[in-house]
Amino acid sequence: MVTRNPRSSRLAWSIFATLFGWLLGAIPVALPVARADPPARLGDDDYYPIRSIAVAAAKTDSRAAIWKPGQQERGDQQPVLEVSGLAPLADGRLAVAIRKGEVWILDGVYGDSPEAVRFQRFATALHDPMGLLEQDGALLTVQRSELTSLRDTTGDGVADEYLTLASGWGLTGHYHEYAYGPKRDGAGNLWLTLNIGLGLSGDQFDRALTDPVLGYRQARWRGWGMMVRPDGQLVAACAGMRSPSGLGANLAGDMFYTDQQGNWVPTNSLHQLKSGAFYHHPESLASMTVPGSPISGIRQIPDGVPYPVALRQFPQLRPPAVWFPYKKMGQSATDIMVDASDGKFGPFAGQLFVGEFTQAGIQRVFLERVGGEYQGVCFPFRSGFASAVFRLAQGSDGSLFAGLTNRGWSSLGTASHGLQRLVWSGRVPFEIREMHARPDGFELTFTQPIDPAAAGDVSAYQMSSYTYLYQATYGSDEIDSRELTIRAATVSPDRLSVRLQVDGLRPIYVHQLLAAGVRSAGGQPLLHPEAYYTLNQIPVD
Amino acid sequence: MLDAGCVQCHVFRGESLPGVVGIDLAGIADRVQPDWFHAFVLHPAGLKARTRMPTFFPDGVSQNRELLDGDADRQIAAIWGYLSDLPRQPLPAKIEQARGEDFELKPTDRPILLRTFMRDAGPHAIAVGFPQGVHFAFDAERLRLATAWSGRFLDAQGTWFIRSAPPADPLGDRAVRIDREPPFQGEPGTLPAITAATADPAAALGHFAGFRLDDQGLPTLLYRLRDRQVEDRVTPRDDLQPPAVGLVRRLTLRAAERTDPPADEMPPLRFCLLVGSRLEPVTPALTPGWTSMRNEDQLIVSIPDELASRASLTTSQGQSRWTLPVPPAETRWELRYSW
Repeated sequence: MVTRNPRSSRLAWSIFATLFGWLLGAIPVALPVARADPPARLGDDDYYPIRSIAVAAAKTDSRAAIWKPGQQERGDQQPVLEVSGLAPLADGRLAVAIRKGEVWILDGVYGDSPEAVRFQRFATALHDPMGLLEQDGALLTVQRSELTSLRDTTGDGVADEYLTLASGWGLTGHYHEYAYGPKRDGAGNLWLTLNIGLGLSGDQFDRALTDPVLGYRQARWRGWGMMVRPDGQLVAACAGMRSPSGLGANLAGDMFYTDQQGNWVPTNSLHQLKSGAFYHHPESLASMTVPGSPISGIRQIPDGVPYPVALRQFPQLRPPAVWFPYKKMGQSATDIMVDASDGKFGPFAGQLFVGEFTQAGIQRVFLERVGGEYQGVCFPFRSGFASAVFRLAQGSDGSLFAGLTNRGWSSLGTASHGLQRLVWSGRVPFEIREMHARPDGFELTFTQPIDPAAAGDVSAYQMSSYTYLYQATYGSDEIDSRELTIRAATVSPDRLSVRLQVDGLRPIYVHQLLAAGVRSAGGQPLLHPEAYYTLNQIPVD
Repeated sequence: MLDAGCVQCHVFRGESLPGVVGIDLAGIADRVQPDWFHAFVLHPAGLKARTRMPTFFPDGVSQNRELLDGDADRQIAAIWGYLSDLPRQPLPAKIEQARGEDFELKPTDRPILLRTFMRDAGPHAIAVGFPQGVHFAFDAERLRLATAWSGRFLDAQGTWFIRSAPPADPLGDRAVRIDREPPFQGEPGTLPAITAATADPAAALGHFAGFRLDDQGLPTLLYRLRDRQVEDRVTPRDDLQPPAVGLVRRLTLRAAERTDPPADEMPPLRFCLLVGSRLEPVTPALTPGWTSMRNEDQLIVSIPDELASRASLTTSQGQSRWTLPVPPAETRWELRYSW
């Protein structure tokens, strides 16, 4: 599989642009836009600088054999910030859940001096809490076995009430049985997601259910998305998850989750959580006949077939709203955060940001509804965090908190864990803001006016499409790849968008765009010229 | 070999005993030649004057006659083999032990709670350690006081550090099983037994509802059984003479508003005080006004005489059970365990 390094391709383009400029200067002909002196190229740090709030000193601090909890040495004053949950509080503080099973309240996180941040321990003894949400004066977290409300009833700043709000899903004792959440949707439902146990053994089977037809064995509701209604009832909503470590609602209040490449999951994906939907992993169907299951009647699972074929053979299977092509767009998608800041975080209001574990970055997602279903596009957004980006939350000033931990796996970056903040500098990067599917191609909108000559030239773009295999083995290569011809590129009168007429669109396939030749009116190339659109449906009008 | 000497001074992959000064031996095989290593270990000062490396082979003779027939050359070769493969080898035992102590939870002034996987208390275990040196683990899945022990509390390494999350094992001694099965049951034999194969004990029995901590950090466990709310508070006993240790358990049962299925369609609830293959009353009374029963694990449960007058002893399939009916009114019981 060919992987592209965005940094080196940007470098190549800047060299090319410079040479092109010299060439123009040397030949005395009048060209529409002669840029003998291209403007200095700004980088990610100029648009979205990363500020460290607390970052581990060493890359191997927590996952190496030499890791220690460390708290004794630091006198309980500062936690090991292996962040597993983030909840910005209304009063300006930030609540942080950590892998060790504690919740800490941090004060001073919006300042520029990490030394001034104060830490207070709020809760302990939680079993792998994998999320945090403030609601009605309490902090809610999902532990392995339950949704818990943590409340300080005495006013001393420490939780003294740990109440179980929902439970009843199975836990065999397998390490991979993590539970994530909660996140709240627009209707006030709390959502949580349950990992599949990977390879149960021994007495773990004592707590497993078996589907009588398919024979899959997993604990109750493992691989399911669960909803806790405002009345407290726990409802099994959708199945087929493998490692659904991220949840998040968009501005419309619809809830989404991410899944991670592995068996039955060809590459990382983003899905809307909908009752009755099935996503990837059939072992979740061990709970298909449990009372309350909205899924029934699945008698056969296709294996090793192209995804469009699998969708025909398996009517309950729902394609993801977005595929994240492996390595190009990360290797393990995590948390989902909508930019609800209405512009305080830059030009992407309303879009989704998705954490990336292995590559220690963040992707950006634009979704639209086609035929009543969400589908859309992902773009590279930011790399260079100190460790695996596991949790995202937007602060009151619009900035983005990135909770980091690579515990148990590995990631790029200089640290094993920490907490960083991504701030918009106020400079608008030149980016593809949105990518819409059209009956005959795509429409791109940009964050800055474009140079019509460059963006109107079909050679500024390259497009290909591919899909994946739905299979029991780990991941899938891109299959059935095809280069697509761009017939026309038509710049809008306001110079903020371009219509691409593309031959040979294929429904279900990922459509990969490289818009390397596009220039802003000021002569800048795109900060990230890549886009990956999951074209589940081609719009009819 | 390494535990005898090397670990007293050297660091291994960043791990060491407290206060050591020697270089990290990780990567040593990339820095020196095996024959130099052999000669240096055999006679450090011979290669490096004023070295702080002591000799463990005075006159070329090993101090350890047990390993590899006491052959110094073979012993040094074995050390070299281990150090060459250090990234994949376990750390020396003494260092592993020191490491384990970093994860040991030691309650000093307040109780420590840890929710984790445990062998006896199951995947929903809540371990509670007390400064008094008596500890218990509650099974929040099957609503039972699973085990108790005395001495050291718990090693959190598996829970906090090891990816495969192995069960946490009690570190202390004199562990005893308390509720071998969920203690709240119907009339013996009238409710489906909650066994390991019961996939959803919450539906069959009840469900855990959390806990509250008082200003001393002492937890009161909360759960819901049919139409009752239960408060279960377990603390160390302070009225026993060593080596006896014990716990006092205060149970409060209140009516709850909702019940599903309706409580009157279910057999009356009983609470099992003690189960075992052989139960025997403890006579004479350990405490005036209290009745005690002992099982084959030497676990003793004591309840006030007045309460004991309502208890019954039954035997079924080789298991004897000392049980109490759960009255409909609000109920407060005190049970004392010792072992």
